[in-house]
Amino acid sequence: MSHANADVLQGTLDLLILKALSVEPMHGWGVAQRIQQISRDVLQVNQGSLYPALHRLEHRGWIAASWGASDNNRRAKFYRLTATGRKQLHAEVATWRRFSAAIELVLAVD
Amino acid sequence: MDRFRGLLVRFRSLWKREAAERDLDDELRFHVAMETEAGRARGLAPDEARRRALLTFGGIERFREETRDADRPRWLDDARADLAHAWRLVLSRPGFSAAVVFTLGIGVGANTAIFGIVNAVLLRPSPFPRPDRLVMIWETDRKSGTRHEPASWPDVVDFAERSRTLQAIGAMTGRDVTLARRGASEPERVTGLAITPSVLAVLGVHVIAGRPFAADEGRPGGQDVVLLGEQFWRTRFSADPAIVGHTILVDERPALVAGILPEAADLGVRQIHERADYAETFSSAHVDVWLALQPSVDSFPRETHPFLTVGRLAPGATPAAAQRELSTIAAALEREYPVNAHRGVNIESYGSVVFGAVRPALLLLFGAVTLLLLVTCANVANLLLARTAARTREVAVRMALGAARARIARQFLVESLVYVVLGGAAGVVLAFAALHGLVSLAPSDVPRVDTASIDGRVAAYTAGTTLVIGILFAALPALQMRRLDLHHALKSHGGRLISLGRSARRFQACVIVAEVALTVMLVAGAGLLLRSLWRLSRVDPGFDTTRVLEAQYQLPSTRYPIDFKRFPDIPAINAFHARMLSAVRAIPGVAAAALAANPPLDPGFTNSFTIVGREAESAHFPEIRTRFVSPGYLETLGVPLLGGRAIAESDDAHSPNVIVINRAAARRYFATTDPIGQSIAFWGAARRIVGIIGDEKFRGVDAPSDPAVYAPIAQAPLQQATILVRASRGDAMALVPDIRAELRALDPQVALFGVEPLALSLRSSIAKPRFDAVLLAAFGAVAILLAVIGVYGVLSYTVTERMPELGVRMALGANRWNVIRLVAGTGVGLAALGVALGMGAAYAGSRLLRSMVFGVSTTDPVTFVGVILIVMLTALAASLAPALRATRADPMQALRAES
Repeated sequence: MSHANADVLQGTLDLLILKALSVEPMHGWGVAQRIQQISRDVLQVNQGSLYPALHRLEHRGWIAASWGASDNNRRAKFYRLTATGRKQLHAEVATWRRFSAAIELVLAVD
Repeated sequence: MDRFRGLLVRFRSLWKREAAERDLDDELRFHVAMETEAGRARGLAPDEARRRALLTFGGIERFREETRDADRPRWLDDARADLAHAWRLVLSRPGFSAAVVFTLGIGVGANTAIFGIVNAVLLRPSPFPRPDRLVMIWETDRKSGTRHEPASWPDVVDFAERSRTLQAIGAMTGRDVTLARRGASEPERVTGLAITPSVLAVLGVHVIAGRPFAADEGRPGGQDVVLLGEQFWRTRFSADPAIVGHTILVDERPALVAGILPEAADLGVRQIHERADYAETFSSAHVDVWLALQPSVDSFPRETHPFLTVGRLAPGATPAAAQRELSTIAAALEREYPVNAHRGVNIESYGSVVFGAVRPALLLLFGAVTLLLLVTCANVANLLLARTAARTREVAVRMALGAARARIARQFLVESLVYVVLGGAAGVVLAFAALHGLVSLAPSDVPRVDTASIDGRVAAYTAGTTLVIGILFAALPALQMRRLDLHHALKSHGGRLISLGRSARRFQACVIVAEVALTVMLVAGAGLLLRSLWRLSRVDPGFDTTRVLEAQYQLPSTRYPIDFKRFPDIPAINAFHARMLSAVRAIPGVAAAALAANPPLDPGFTNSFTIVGREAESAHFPEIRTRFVSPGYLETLGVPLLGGRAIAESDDAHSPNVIVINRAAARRYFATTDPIGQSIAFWGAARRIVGIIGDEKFRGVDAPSDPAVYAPIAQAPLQQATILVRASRGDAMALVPDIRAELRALDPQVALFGVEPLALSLRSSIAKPRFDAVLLAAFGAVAILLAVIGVYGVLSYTVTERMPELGVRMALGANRWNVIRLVAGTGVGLAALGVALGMGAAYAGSRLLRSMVFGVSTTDPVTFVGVILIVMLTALAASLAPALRATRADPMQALRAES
């Protein structure tokens, strides 16, 4: 069964989540903050799509979740990248680079 | 691995829905809390921070729903939708659905019921550990050619002492006894099995209460002890464990009840007795009471052969090795004891003795019922195919709207599965009813058939069969759909039937041909067995059963001892028999009565003998069947006197010994001389032949009549007797109370047993072939019915589809006859092809029936021609109705519809 996404935005969100989790395991709120921070507030992650995306990625086996304590000692669900997820991240990064390069090429033509 | 973990998460969310829901809530609550804290860190008031945090979600419920969707597998929702859709379809066409479910139900039900019997008889584990190590040890007699003789007691002892390949040997023999409990008024005749204590060890059975026989209880002079069979204990003693340790009266002698043996412990006892060339009668399915044999060389000398011997192979020994070793031992015994001359040993596996006779018949029934299942499947396949055709348009529309083929195929799969599951369920219900009936109809000599039930294995078998059928059926319409021509299907207008594609029609024709072929095989098998049964039932048993009843009694040796020093002059026994006979003859309504040691059709026993004056030649004669009868035997049973005279009242213990021989004996031994006046010697006395009588059947009606001698019962008194009574009119069984009363008047402690009309014994003697034939005939009848429905259904469909074409033909001048021939020709043609194929298969497979038919060839032309006629005529009849409907095609309407 293929999980190819027609939705570019959704695909991008998956990529961003995987990238964010590639540094260290974190909870959903942390993922959103991290993306926002690194992109210097350019990319605002809609919480309404963040959690469905996290659960979807979990079902595909790209990320795994476990319950743990947050910095301020609350019960939080932590996500981490799995081996499959890491492979997937490399693939998605490569695809994205090709894609954006292609867009650049198109835009560069005057 | 990661992918697998992902699946686990999904299933967890399926099964542990509440936990998953709570987790989700926790996760969201955490997020809102963090967001609120971040807001406060930016300097917002707590309430405002919380409000904003909630706002970023844009509605918690919608968000929850989306996340939940991600959690739930998509296919599950689809499956639920498919299931609901399929269920609506099933309900929307109740007639069609009922036909499918009922047809499948018959196929699956019959199959399950027969498998239930096969399972109980052949597949269930043996009650004995390592049953493959059990062997029967028969003695052979090279002189008579017999290979299944029971052993003599000294031989059993010698085998046990000298053999190394057998670790243990036990001896047994059927011994019906009269049982009485202290205080109980009526003594009861029960089925007993006398065994050496070693039998229990050889078989490996354990008591369920009390203790087994001790070794010294198997020696002469040991205490009289019995073990009760579980079933007997449950029915007669209400499963009261307190009976153990009590004393009951066995043949009027007190015996201690030592323990209870499980019901399964007697598996095979009856079949072993039947396998023997001669043995004590053992006609019950179960052993009521187990007696300890206490044999000695004096009571059972080397020349008597009463013991059925069972052994357990030593570790590492094979049956072949045991055969070699025991043959050597038997050869040594031949040298040591003149009476053992010509004797050898025949080792057979216990399993082949117990199940050998019944296995082919059961497998035949199972094969037949599987053919029937295939026929029902073919029928249902055709029904479903026609149904698919009617829905071509629906499918085309859905495909045009973008439904994937896989999605549609899956929907068909679900629909088929719904039908198959319903059919399977109907089948199981039918099987429960059928199994009950089958068990009560089944001949009682099929081992452990009474334990047949729908257990886990049968249920699993049925579930598996049903699943395979379901998948096959699902594949059918789905394959049809693959070739669907969208353009063509959509173009045709509503209201007109969309025709099946060419491949579908060809497939349907194939299904019909296969269905007819299978039916022909089944009906041919049934026909052969029915013909065989008819032959069997018309065999002249040599006696007339009209208004004759049989009943037995046994005189206890306590009060009616046989003193061999003065044999045959045993006044107590002879007087009892004589008084009983004259009392019965005096009962009003009795036309004739006689006594016999063994009832007709009971093989009884055989004796070695010599013809006086031809002693040297006689040494090579096989043993002769020996009957003891009273005067009046011929009149009572209608056996013809062919020469000389019958046994007379004057032939008693004090008059010269006389004998009557049957025709088979006269032909075999006195081909060139007149037997009357010559003498035959056995049991140490010469007996003058005074008459020749007609041949009775002794070993079943399908076996030839053996040569036999009939001696006066007064000249060879026995404690057992069968009284045969012919009523002058009406039902002989009406005389039973009077006969019982006469017996009670003579001795109130003697029980009358085995009371039944002789006609019934004759019928029971062919119960097994009747069971097989009746079942196969029923399967055949159902198959024919289904084939008729199949042919009719397909032709009806074709006619409906071709109505316009037929109309055009009629408009162009075709007459009714042409149309009938066109339509019916198709059906008859398909049927003919099926018949040809089925006949080929039946002919090839007929060898399998060889051991099961009597008096007909397995390629009996009458049967085969009959089958062809029956199937072809029914196919013709099934074709005619649609053909006649075709002639009503209206040319005008047809032309209008075509435009």
